[in-house]
Amino acid sequence: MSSFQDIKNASLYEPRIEFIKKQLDSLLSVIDLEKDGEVVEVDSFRLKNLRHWVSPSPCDPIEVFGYAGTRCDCACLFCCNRGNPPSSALGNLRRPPGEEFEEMRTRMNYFFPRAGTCLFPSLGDIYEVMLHPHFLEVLRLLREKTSKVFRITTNGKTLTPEAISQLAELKPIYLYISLNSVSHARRRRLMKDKNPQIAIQSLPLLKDAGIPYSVVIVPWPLGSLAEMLDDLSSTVAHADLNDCHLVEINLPGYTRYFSPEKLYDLDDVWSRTVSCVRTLREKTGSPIVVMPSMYEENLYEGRKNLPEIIGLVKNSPAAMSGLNKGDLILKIGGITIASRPQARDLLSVLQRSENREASLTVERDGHALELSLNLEVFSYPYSRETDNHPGIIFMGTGLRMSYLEGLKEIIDSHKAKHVLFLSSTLVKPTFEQCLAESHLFGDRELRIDVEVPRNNFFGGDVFMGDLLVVQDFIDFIKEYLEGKERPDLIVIPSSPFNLGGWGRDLTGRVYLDIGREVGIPVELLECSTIFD
Amino acid sequence: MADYIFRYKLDGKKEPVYQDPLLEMIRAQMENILNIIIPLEGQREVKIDGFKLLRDRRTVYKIFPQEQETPNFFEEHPL
Repeated sequence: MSSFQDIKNASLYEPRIEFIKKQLDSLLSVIDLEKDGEVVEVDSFRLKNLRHWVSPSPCDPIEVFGYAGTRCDCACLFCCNRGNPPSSALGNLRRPPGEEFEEMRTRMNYFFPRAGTCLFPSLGDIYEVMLHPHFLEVLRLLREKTSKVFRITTNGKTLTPEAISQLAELKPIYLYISLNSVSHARRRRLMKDKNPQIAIQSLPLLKDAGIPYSVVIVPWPLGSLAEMLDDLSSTVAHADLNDCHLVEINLPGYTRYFSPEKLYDLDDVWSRTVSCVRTLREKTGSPIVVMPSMYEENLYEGRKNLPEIIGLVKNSPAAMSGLNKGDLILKIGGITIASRPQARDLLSVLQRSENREASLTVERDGHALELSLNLEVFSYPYSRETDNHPGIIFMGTGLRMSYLEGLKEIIDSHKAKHVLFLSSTLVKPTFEQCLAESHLFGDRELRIDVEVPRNNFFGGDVFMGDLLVVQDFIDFIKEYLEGKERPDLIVIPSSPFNLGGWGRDLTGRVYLDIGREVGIPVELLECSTIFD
Repeated sequence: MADYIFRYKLDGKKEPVYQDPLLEMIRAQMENILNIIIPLEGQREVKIDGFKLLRDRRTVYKIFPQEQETPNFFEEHPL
């Protein structure tokens, strides 16, 4: 008999299951069920025909192999999964690996990449997938169903020469290696990895096997900041030496469940890390991004959302075309570029098109310069299967101007004159810049207040807008309304409610509760989650 | 090979808003459905926060317990 699934997780990804559960609970409070004249005690239910539970999906392979990531063989000092609030809907079931494999096999049977459908997800936090005893078997079975890239995040502990050669048979594969430090002693202390040499030595092996990878580093202030930054520089140099595709610096953070005490000065650690990265970019071939990228943008860029190149994937068409770090893209294929998301979209279209060449106009040292991008000239670590762009790296995704059109439509449909827009510390400066420059909001009678709720749910030093939950919004709005004029509409970006597509926050609670609690209409502004 | 079985536990846990079990059953079902659908009248989205029984159209029952303290919300008594 299989284990029970987590109903809270279902409320996030497939709330019709939660609906059935609540309907049954409600009915059973007033009736008894019978079979052959005898009362039947019912304490659970199961899904009858899984075909009924298939829904549209991008069919990323992680929607199957992600269920292998329920355990970890490291104990990282900074592990973001350690401080999850108990009411999060992203917990993991405790099941034997064989049962997890059975679920993955069943999911594979309902995984239809051509039709773009698969079973509803029930993923919790993903730990180390490569630790699962059936992982390679799952990948092999998956490869029979899809040619899509397997994007695998790993701590690198299992990346032995044998494992890498097995992975190489399953290309296209892209790895995100949580390396964190090239120093054996520091990696041992940071990650409790008893054999740090395996991960550290895996980079040249991956290069030999033709598997592109990102090196992921969380700069955790263990010891002095100077020590941390020295180690960061050495680790980036090691990644660069081994032709890593991208270096991702994930700025650290922790929740109040991780530590009720302040562990470090966030602005000091983050700003000094970004400053160090900006220096490293000048002398490193591999591109380096800092996440969340808007922190760097807010710190250094007066004008936001610009399509400025901060790095080029080694041996990519972009790197071979004569583009430089610091170039500002003015035109792609003759089309004038107004923002970074527009540049990314056009480069993506270009990558997928039949065109093998395109003209680019960039601004360099105050002068316009025209270059030709040949999409057929590239080599490792760039590849057409694993890259979505011709190798140009920007400072994050940026903010789409089309969001403002969506905002305008919402405001017009409510005939609102006073709008409270709830943003985040990171997005607010770019949003306000776009708002001020937009011609859509010229109505002098219209007032839009942009405010930033606190992340009480996660607490600690977490301040990402996409991690806000329904209760955070309710608490903030109630506090905001004290002594202030009531707005006639509240607009919230949809991104904190994007998982599963049912308007649920990370606890599985529906956003509609915000309007019900505060007594003011609340609308979600459709926008993508910012992952970088 | 048979499919993996997706099982869910029933627990009946929930503090009733109304003490009348049949009334509470209807309220709970309304609340549940309003958490996964948006009711329409024609093409227009409609906000629903209460209901009446056909046998007694004078009494209004609230659907969402947390709304009891918010302004602009009708009281639970005959209109």
